[in-house]
Amino acid sequence: MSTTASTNQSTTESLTAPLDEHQSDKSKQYLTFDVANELYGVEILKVQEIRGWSAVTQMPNAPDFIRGVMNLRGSVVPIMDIRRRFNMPEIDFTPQTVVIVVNVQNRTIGMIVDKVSDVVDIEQSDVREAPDFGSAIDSSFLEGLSPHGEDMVILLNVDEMMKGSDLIKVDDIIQNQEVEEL
Amino acid sequence: MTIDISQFHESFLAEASEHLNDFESGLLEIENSGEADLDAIFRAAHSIKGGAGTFGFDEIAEFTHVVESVLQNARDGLLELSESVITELLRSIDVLAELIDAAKESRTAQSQIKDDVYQALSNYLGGGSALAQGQLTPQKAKEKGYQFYEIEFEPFATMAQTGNDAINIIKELQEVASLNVQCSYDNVPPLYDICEDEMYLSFHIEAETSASVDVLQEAFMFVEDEAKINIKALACVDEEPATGESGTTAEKNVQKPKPHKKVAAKSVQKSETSFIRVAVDKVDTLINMVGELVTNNAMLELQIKRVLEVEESQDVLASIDQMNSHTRNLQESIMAIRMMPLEFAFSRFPRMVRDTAQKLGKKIDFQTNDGQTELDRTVIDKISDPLNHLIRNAVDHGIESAEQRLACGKPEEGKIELVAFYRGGNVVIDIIDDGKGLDPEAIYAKAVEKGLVDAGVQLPDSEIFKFIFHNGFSTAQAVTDVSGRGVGMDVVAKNIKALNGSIEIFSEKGKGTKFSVSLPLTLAIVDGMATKVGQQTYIIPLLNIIESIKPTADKVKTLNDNVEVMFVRGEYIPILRLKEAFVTESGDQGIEKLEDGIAIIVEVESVKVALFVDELIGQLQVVIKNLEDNYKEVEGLSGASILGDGSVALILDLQGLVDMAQRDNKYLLHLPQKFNSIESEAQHEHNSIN
Repeated sequence: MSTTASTNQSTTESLTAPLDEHQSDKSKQYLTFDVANELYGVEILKVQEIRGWSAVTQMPNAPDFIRGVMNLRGSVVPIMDIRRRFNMPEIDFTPQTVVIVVNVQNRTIGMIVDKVSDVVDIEQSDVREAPDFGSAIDSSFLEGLSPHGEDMVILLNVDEMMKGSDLIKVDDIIQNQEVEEL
Repeated sequence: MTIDISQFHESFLAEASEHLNDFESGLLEIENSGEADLDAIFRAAHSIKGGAGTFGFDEIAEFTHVVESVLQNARDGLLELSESVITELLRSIDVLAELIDAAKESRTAQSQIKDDVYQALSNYLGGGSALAQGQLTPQKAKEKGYQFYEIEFEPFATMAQTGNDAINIIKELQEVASLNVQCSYDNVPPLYDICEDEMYLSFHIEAETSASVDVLQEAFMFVEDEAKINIKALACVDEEPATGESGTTAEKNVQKPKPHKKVAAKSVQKSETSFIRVAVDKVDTLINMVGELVTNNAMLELQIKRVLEVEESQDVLASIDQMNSHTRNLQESIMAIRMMPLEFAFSRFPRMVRDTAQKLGKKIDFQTNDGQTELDRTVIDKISDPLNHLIRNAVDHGIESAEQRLACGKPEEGKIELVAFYRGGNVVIDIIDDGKGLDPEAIYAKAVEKGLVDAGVQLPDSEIFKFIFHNGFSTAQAVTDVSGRGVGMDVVAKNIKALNGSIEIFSEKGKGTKFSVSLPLTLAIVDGMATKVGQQTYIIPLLNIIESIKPTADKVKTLNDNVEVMFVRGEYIPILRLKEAFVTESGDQGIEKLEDGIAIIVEVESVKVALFVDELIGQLQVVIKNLEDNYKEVEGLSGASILGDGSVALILDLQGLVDMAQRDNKYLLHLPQKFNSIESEAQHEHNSIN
């Protein structure tokens, strides 16, 4: 295990880190939410706030999963539709539809989800590596899978998602990582 | 208790850079006017050395020590400040700048000329340790006379708070004189009133020294504003100036009364305005917050009007009105924090002019007005390079050689002026030279050759001059052929445009040239016209708008089946439908029929385009927000802004839009000459219809 972890470390650090034996006794808090009747989770430390859905200003020539931008206390924040991002069928927005605002690489971005669920503790030792989903969801978007009671939580790797979404220039990410490593 | 002094490194280095600037401008002043304010220069060097020593930047300290020694010799009259000495000193500034930069970035300095300069400066010191001997001024050295001085040194209570220690000052004196010090503790308050960082003691010092009063004064250099200092020559052993001086105190030495007065005046000025250093992002946060406040105000007003009846709302609305004006004031004041005097950009030019002129063997008198005109910091950062370019051009190509000038009956020395002033909401910076001027005929010929204009077309000079901003027009060869305006004028024009500014040229052959650069006060705010396309709100920079016209069927023609042009005042202007350029989810909404919407004629880089939108909402001033902060750059948009109702509107980047349209090959914006020929054909057609 330790050898795979070390070889993968440079490329998918956050994916392998929870599997590291030294961290096995640690647990992290996740905000869980529903998208298409499945339970997803993002690390709570990345979450800035949760807002109700309100109309956005559309961005010209943007990928379809970017619904647009909204005003978040003076800063202009892009809003990503998780269903579209994962090629899931679209539904009409309900009063329960919320935007989870996350902070990634010093950027703020909103994710539209069906509804928020709960904040849960997840033992890092319980996290299993996600299988390859094929083309539907890029498995690099996933931190892993974790059982939670009866359910299974799909843990999202938001950093990776933003990278793949052409939201952020790849150079930026590489630079940021270098800074973090220092 | 130990203090981690590394936390002060940043401010020391920032200050050192400022001292370097003083140092440089002082040197240039000496060279220009011949009048020496050597003390100010010396003080700058001394401060750098002192600070560098304290904070452990040994390389800087060591190097500055030599510089300081040279300056000291110069001040004491042992060394004449010839042009070559000044050149070496100026080079030493470059070395120091590199050393300081290196220290800022915690890397090793890479200065090739450092050892060179060090050697050259050491040579001026005549090998001997001039610092040690330097305490003897020439006259003193001749006469070997000793002089007694009586020094009253009464520090103000606050002196210690500035980090100055009276004991150190006295120790410094001791190095140059034998002292008899009496300390008076008359002012010491009762124990319970003593404040640990205040200074209550004063000193009466008798000094016996061969050094001049200047040298004594120097010990008090850093506390001139922090203490009452009175140096009196007691008994004059064998020299006359000191007697005349006794009692006049702070004015130090009769030898050079003028510069001293200047110094005194300057230090007074400095102490009147004090500064704090604040990180730019803190100010930006404030600006954001105030922007929000303005938005909230507008929202509140809207909602109250909606909820309350007219009679009920009167008082509330009046209060909100008041709040509005306060918020606006607040916004303006905060914007003012970002403003910096143009001096920051101007200060580097005298040196550049001097060096370039020297290299070219020209004589140039370079003048700037006070440089106190203020501009947004970001604008200043970005305008410095284009200005540098324009001034270098003026030196290189504008001003003729001394022989040529004399032959034309002009004074041998060329003159370049850099003048900044406010005009309306803009700052105008003029670069004026009295050189040979631009030759409109030569430029016109070149433009015809390049295919930028058809031969025979009549153009006013002002239009002809604009050709020098064309890409490729100003390659080195072309320019010397024409009239000699330098390389990269297209880049200059582009940079200025990018700042929402404009540049104009006024020139008379043989008399000189004036480049007039006009810049907005700030990049953070733009005047715009809000327009609607479907559900989207787009803001068009007002600066680019020429007029808005309702298209009528007879004025719109189609070329090549896909390009619509509109006939406006004798010109055919391509129509760019915003909803086609900007594809959005609900993008197909918005008016299709041209007669139902409105066309806004804008001009970008002398290309005119008619932007077709649904309707105009109105003119407004908006705070620009970056899209890159959280999203990414979007072609055709320069940013976004938050409207009164809290929604986000997108601000158009017209240059980007035009580039997009040209790339998509959809619109006829390619080259002016092509456009011209179509235009004239179309005109012809139109005339024949009539």
